[in-house]
Amino acid sequence: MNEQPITHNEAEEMRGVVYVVDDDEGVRDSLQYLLEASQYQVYTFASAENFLAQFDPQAIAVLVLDVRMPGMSGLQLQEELLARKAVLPVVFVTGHGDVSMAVSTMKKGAVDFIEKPFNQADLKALVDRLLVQARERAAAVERERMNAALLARLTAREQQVLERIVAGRLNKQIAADLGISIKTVEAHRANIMDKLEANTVADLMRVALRSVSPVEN
Amino acid sequence: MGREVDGSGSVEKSRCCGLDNMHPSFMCSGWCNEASRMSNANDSRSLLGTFDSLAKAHTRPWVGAPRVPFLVIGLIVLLIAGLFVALVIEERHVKRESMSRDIDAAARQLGLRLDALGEALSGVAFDLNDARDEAVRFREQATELLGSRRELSRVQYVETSGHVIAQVDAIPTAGAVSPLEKALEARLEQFTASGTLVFSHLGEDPSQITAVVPVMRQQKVHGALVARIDGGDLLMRGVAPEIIERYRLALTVDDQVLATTAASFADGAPAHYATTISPLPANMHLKAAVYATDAPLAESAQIWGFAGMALTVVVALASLAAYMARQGRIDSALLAEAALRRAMEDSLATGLRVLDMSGAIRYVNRAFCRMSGWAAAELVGRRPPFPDWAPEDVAANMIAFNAMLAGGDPPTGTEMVVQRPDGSRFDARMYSSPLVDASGQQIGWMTSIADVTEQRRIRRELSAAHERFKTVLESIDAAVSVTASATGDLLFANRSYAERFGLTPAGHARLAAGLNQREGGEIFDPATGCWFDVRARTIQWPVDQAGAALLQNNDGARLQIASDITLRKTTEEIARQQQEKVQFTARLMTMGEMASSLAHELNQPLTAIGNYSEGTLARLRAGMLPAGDLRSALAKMAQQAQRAGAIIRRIREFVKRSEPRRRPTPAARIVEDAIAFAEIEADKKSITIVAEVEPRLPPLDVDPILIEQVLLNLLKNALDSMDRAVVPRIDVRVVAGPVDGQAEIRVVDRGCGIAPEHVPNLFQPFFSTKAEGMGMGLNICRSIVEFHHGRIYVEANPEPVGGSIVRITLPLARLAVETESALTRT
Repeated sequence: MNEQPITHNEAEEMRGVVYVVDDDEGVRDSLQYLLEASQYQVYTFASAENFLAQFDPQAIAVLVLDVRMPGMSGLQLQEELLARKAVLPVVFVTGHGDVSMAVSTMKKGAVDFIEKPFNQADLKALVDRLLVQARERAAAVERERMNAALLARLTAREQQVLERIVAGRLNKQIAADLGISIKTVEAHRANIMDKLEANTVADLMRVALRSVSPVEN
Repeated sequence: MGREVDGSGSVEKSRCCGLDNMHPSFMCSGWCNEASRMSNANDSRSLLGTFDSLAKAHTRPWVGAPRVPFLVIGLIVLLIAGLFVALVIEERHVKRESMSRDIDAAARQLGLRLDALGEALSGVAFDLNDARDEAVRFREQATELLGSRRELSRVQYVETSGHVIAQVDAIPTAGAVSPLEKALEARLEQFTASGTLVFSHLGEDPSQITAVVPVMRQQKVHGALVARIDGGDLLMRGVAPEIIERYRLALTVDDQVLATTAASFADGAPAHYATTISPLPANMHLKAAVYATDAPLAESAQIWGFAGMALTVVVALASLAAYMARQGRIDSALLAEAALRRAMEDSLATGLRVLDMSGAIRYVNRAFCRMSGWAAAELVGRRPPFPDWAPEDVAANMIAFNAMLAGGDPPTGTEMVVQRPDGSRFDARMYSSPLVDASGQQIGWMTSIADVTEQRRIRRELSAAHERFKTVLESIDAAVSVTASATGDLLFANRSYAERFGLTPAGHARLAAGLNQREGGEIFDPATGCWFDVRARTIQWPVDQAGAALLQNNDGARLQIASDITLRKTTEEIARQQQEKVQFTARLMTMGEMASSLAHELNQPLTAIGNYSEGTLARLRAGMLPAGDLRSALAKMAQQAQRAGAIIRRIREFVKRSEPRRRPTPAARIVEDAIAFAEIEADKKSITIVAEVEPRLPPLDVDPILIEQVLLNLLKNALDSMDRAVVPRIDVRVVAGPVDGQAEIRVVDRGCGIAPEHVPNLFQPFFSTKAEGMGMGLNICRSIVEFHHGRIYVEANPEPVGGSIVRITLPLARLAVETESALTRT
């Protein structure tokens, strides 16, 4: 297919992007045919290496991946994606059920696997579900990024105050902890609320508590 | 040589010292005879004494000896020659002296005579002083003179002018006077002037001497008398006869012979002597020569005697020289021989010892000293017990020694232990014989001693090696036998052979027949019922006299080694069976793998077809299916279907390659093999599998591996159905089949049986009631059985406990050629 990395536009992402990686041309091509019947935007790759070279890690997409491939296998690709901290959900396509492999892939974070020959309806449902998940996650990631940016506005002292607010400490206690006056604490509080664009304490908490990378969750 | 061999070839011992009788390595050259002759052979002690003296003698033959007498001879000869020469010279000198003496005497005599003559003549001349009748008076006195002096031949009375007045001749001549010679006439005056008688040679006749005496008248020379003297007559009358006998005399004038007494006178003759005669002039000599036949011989008797004596001395000395030379040669030869003997003796490895009649050691050779470690000085002169005897053997040795002194050692010798000064010992073999001198008398004993330690050791080792070899042969399990190729007689058999086959060649022959000219093989011996690994070879059998007869021209012998391999055979058989099982299992595994990969391969095109189909359906539902899309999808679908077809074709080809191979196989073996394999699992479940094969059933015409596979599959099914069986037993029965030419195998289990609803699907592919079953088993079994033109039936076990019975019919082999006895017994 293309040699350059792919970027997706809004329209594509609305429809849903599906990456298909399978060494067998018949399966690959027929899978594309099948998925396109569900209006997905399908990109196919003959090998895991090709895929890695071209896929867009930021895209909201689903990866349909054959387990048994020459060269880099499906499992190895999954590990590579993990190493790159890609959040791409993966559907493993297996030719023969392998319980232990399923367990290991699941542990590593693959979302599901499906046996071939597969059912079109099943496949569509699965892809849809995963896309929704991908979107949600992307949104969550975005939120957290924003929160992190907001939190970055805080000074060190303000961060210390915020920590204690989140811990449920009263102003008085905060003042005592940090060795400053209550007034100062209140002033800090106001600044914090401003900077973090929070109206309520609840908002504040939300911002503060969500500033963690989704992968580490 | 001192040996004499008589007609029979034996050696006469009479003349020799007996050295060469002692030992084959000795040979006497006869020098002992010489030695004994030289040193008085009858004294036996002195013969032995020559050992000592020769041992001590450092003499070398005096090299210069023969030369001395020659020197002496030479000197003497020189001396004699010198003396001889001196004598000769002396003789000559003496002779010469004597001659001079004699001749001087003769000259004197002549001189006297001439003087007398001169006197007489002078007297006549004086008388003629008176002139009266001078002629007559002259004639008278002259005649008288002539008569008394015969050497005168003429007297002439001459005037001063020379005119002859008167002449008287001794022999009257016819003519009265002869004139004076002119020469004389010329000198007449001179002569007469002297006033005395003068002799001269001037005369007519060369052999005459002329005497001239003046006749004086009144103190004046009136005339002269001239007398002629015959030289020869003068010599003959004037010289003593013995001188004339001895010498040749001659009167010479100016070295010309005037007259001589001998017939011939050569001036140069030996021992020539000349002297003058006093009244005669100086140029006249009396010469003498010795007669050649003079007899110095007679006078030299003493010289000759001396020469004779000298000759005798020379001869004597020459003889002495020759004698000494010969002696010198003998000496050299003797000493060389002695040295050679000594060298031989010393280089002998065998020790030699000479004893005298009393048993004392007289001599030991170097080898003996070297061997025994004792120096000669320590041994010579000693009497027994000798220092080289081991203390504990002294008594025994003394007995043996005395026996030897009495009659000598046996020809094979005796063995004894010899002890060295340091106490170490060695085994020695000794041979003693009498030592006999040239006259045949025994003078002692000669012993040769050889170190047999090495021999003994070798003998022991040989014996030990033989024992070891024997032990090995007897201990090995294999039966070793050797038979003569020609007659088949048993030449050798080890214990194993004897125990198995007895000491007869029958067993060997049976195995050999089984080999049938091969060099090795596995033979079954019906007599003993054992399998043997037999190796055989033709060999040369070393024999003694007795054995050679058996071998008959030594065609060789046959060596055979037979190892009992019965146990190995059975083990091998079991191993073979195990091997077949392993292969069988491997086949199953391969099949599993093959099925797995087959599934995967077929899955691919199948998935693709499914995707295309569902994709098309989805598009149709959504109402968007462009004709182009549909066409391409359908085309691709068809492609995938073909791909699937290709896979199927490959499988078919694979299957064809492993076509079954049918051969007559006894049912019992198949059953045993399958059971043996299934027993592993049966044991785990504590289920027994019992086989019942109809006896005398002909073999089945089947591919044993496939049928085994089928049977194993059935057994596994049976086992799988009997997890908690009441009767934990599976029966496998083989009976002659319902139809002629067939056999039936029945597998009876008491498991859970087969539910009726499953029965129609039993042989469907992929049908399985088991959790992890692939469902291939019965289907394949049916294929295999039907390939063999047989059938497979499944029915319920009518026994109360239930279970299933699976029956398979299979064809029997039409011709049963195999000797099943041998095969089924294993």
